[in-house]
Amino acid sequence: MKSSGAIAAAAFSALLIAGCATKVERPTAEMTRASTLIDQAERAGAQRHAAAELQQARQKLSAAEKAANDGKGEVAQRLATEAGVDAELAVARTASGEAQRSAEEVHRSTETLQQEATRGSGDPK
Amino acid sequence: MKTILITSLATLTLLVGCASAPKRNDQLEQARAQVQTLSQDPLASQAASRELEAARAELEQAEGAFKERKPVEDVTHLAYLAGRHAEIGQARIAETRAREQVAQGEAERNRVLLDVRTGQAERATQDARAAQAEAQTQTQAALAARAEAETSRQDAMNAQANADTIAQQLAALKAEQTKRGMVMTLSDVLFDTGGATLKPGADLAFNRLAEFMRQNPKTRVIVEGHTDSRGSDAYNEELSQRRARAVQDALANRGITSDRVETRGRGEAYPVASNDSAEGRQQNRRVEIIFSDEGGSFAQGANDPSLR
Repeated sequence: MKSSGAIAAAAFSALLIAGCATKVERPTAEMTRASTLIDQAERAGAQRHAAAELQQARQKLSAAEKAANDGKGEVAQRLATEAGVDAELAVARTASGEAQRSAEEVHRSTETLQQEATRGSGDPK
Repeated sequence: MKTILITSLATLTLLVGCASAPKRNDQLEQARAQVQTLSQDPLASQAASRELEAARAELEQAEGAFKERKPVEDVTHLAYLAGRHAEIGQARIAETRAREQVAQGEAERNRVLLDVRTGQAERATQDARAAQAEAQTQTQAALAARAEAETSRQDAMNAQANADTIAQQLAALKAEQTKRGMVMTLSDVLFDTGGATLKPGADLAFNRLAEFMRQNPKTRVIVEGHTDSRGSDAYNEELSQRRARAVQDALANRGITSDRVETRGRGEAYPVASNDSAEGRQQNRRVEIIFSDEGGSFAQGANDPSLR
């Protein structure tokens, strides 16, 4: 009877320790990463090209902060990780948006050049 | 007993329900679709291989969690990450395409720029060529005009020279200008008395006349025979006609066709002097040769013997 009680206690302790081992207090690395990517997106001009993704990243990061403060480490980790990919997407869409803008500019300037050339040839002197 | 059975059945049903396929997860479905779309993009391996790899790994984890009936938050979170990485991959591909467009656009712009400059150069060259061609045309026109003027001058000179020649030739034939045109008079001393046979002494005059008509091939003549008043009118007319024909024959012998030589027998009707003296009668016995102009046209009064 005594031994069985000891086993049960040990098993319970083990379970508790295991639980503690997976339990995340504060996902510092994920939050730092998300924060860095959000800054990067803002600097690249995400407000213009990927405002929705930037907003999502900010909201999730602040929600992660709140969850961490509330001791919900696992939730905080998920939110911070998601904030990180949201910010990453914002950076990527900003880069692609800028590239597209350059392509349009080149195209426009070529058209202008062509129009001027046509006008130039239409008018003899 | 019956109640226990029903309860057991209900529990069994509940258990079976739990054992059935897990509830579908919308986030997972979406992630599957997004990862598939990305993997099918021909540019994915080149422009978004890292993102595709991450998305596939996360999708696999999400599928595993789903199968193992892990908490829905876990599945949804992993599926979310997979979907986001797929989207990041799409954004990278879009960026790569846009950069290609920039490169192509710049090449195109350079081509247009080159075209514009080439076009300007070509237009300048064409303008210069056109100006040159025009100048050449003008030069040629000027040369042509000068040549034409020269030709006209030559023609005029030739015509003048020709006219001079004819006048000189007619003067040599002792032709005189009258209202009937140039008229040459052959004296009757060239004929046998009362006859129409030409004496050899007439040869020189006819040679000259034939030569003149050969050199002026359009010229025609009217040959008129005249007599004095002795003898009958009929005889005189017949004699004058024969003498005119004798002249026609003499010219024909020298190659002047008879269609250029008309003959008239005027008889005694048109004396040029008095028939009372021998001298006057001799002047009346004559053959007159009336010349057309060099084109073959006779003067208006050519057929009127009363004109002088």
